[in-house]
Amino acid sequence: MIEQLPEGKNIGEMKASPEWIYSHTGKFVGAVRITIQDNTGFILIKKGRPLAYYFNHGGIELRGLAALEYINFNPLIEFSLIQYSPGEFAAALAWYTRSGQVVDPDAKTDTPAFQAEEVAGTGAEPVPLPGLRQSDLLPHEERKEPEQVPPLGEEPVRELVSRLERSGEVISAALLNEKGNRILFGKDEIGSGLNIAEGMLATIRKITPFTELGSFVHMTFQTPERNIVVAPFQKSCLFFMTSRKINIGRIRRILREIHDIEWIAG
Amino acid sequence: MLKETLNKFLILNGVQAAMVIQENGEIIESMKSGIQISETTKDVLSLFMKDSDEIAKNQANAPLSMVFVEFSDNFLILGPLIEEFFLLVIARNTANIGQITFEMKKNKESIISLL
Repeated sequence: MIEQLPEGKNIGEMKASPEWIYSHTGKFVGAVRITIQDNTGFILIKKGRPLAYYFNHGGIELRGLAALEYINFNPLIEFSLIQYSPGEFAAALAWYTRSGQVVDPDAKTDTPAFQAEEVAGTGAEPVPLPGLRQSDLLPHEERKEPEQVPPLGEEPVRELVSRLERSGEVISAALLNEKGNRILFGKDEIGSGLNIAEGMLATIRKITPFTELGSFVHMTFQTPERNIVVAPFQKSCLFFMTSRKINIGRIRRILREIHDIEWIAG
Repeated sequence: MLKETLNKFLILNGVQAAMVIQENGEIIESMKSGIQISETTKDVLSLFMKDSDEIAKNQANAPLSMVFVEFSDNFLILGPLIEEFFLLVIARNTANIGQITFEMKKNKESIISLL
């Protein structure tokens, strides 16, 4: 089955935990070809979001959740990163679907997956095999040497604020990361929201490496008056509050509307 | 009888498990379909329960109305029942959230009466 995937371009081989794959492929589009004790499988990943899983365990074919569970069960796996062009990736997904597999139905939304790299002690440290650098995980056209990475910009954050405010339903918002919290707007309304968001984030950090339900997308904590939402973006976490007049479906739509902003939170 | 009520959730498209769970993470009763609740998942649910309860009591200083956690494959919906008991539903992320939360509200009193 693996042989029928598009050839792509092998950009390197590594040995690392499954969590590392999910958290370090934020800009990678392609297949992760996995080898576990002479058995092979793959994950189709688009910008950090795993869309399809397959593993052949001694002739027994595991697909979807079963394959995911098997792969995640192994603390350290060897894998090759096969980079696809947009056309190759589309062909891989189309072939996977045609072969009777279920592709993540939310794939079209491209909702970002949780960046779990800050979780300590959750898996083995990645061991890059010779010749692979972190920048190799980027799509070919986006690869840059570290010194070429553009400086942190305010424009993406302004765009984020603009879209959140435009929704007309977000009361306050902030960015949370290890460097501290940055209130974007609604300072007077934020109240205990930040404390709650930090508590939610701590919970997510604890449970995500161990859950078998997939990578983290978002969490909403409802009190009688507020929806308190946390969702990952890059290496930070977005927190916002809404009134209880809006439902979870609307919150998911707001997250989809802002997910494509290319920004770096400082 | 509690199983029968929980079974109503499994009829809903995409729902994989419905359970009554205590704030300490102990599962009182559960019904599952197409999902294995491994020991690891039980530990995760226990941690999730304790933390959610803690946040509600100490940080939100308000009763918890509902917690929704979305993962790439599934989501969890946690709703309070009475005292230390909660209803937890696990579903594929294609399931209809509105329908599930409606059923949670509709069956809340019935479940409480069985505890």
